Amino acid sequence: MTDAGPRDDVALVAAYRRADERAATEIVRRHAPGLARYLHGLGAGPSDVDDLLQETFFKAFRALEGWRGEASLRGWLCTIGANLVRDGFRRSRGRTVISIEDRDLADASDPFEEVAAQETGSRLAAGLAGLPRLQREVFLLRAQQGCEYDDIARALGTTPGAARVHYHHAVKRLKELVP
Amino acid sequence: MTNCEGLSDRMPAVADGRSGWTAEEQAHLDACADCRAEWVLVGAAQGIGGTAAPRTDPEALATVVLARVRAAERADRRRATTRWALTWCGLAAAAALMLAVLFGGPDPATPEVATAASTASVTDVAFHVPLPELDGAEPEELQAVLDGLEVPLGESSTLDAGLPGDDVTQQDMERVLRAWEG
Repeated sequence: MTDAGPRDDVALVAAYRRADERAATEIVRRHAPGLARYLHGLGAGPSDVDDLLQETFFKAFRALEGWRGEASLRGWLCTIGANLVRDGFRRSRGRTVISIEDRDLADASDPFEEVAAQETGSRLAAGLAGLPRLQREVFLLRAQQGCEYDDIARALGTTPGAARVHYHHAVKRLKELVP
Repeated sequence: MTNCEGLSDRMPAVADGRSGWTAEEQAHLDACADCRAEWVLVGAAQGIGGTAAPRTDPEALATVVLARVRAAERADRRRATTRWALTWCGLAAAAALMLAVLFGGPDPATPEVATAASTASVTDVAFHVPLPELDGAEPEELQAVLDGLEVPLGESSTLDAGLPGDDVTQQDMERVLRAWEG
C-alpha cells in the first residue's frame, strides 16, 4: 500500500464501527487521492472522479461491517470503484475519454524531461485503454497502487499466480506502446 | 543475485518512495533493457491521474458520505419495519381465517346444509330447492307432502294422454282443434 498501512486501516475501521465518525474522515483522507488516481487510470473522466469517489465510499461504508481485513482496504475500495466505473461504461455503452494528465515524476525543472514524461503518460493511458479489463486493473493495482499479488487476487477474485500472469501480460503489451 | 522477477516485484515500492534500489539492483537495471522498460511503465503508472485528486475536501466528502449512509440506514430501518408489520398483518389474517374455518364455519345443522341433504335424499330431481319449513317435519309428514305432489310427467303421463284415440272422426278432430285455437 502506498498511503496507509493495513494495520492502521483495521484500527480505523474498528473505530468507525464504534461510531467514531472521525475514523471515517481519516479513511477518506487516506484513500481518496490514491483511489482517485486509480479511477482515473481506469478511464474515468476527471469530472466523474468526485462522483465516483463519493459513491465508492458510500458503498464501502454501507458494507464496512462485512470487511474482515483479509484484503487491504485500498484493494477493496479499488474493487468497488472499478465496479462503478464498469457499470458506468455499461450504462453509457462506451468508454469515457481517458485523461492524459499526468503527475511529473521526472525533474520538473527540466522541461524536456517533463514533456517526455507527459508523452510516456499519454501513451500509457492509451495503452491501458486497449488492455483487457483484468490486465488493466491488475496492472494499476500493482504498479500504481502498490498492492501485493495476494491482495490483488483477493480483490479481483482470482489467484496470486493468475494476478502475476495478468500483470506480466499487461507489461508486455504496454512495452510495445511505451518505448 | 538480482533477477528480473525480483526487480519487478520491488518496483512499486521504489516508485512510490517506500524503498530505494540497492547497488546490485541498480546495476541490473542499468544492464537490462526489459527491466528498464518496465520501470518506465511503473513510473508512468504512478503519475497517471496525478491531477485527478478529489476536488472535494476529504472532510467535506466524508461528511456527505456519512450523511448518505445514515439516511440509507434510516430508510433500511423503515423498510424493515414496514416489512415486519406486513408480515405480522399477513400472519394475523391467515390465523383469523384459519380460526374462522375451524370454529366459525357454518353449522352442519343449519338450514342450508340440512335442506340440501334432505332434498338429495328424498328426491332424485336435479334441482335442489331450499325448503326450510320441512326441516323440522317428521317422516310421516314428509311422506304426506310427497304423496300430495303431482306424479312426475315421465312416469305415467304422455303427451297423448286425454287426447282422442284412433276411433275419433274427422269432425271430432276438427272440433278439438278449433277449441284449442279458441
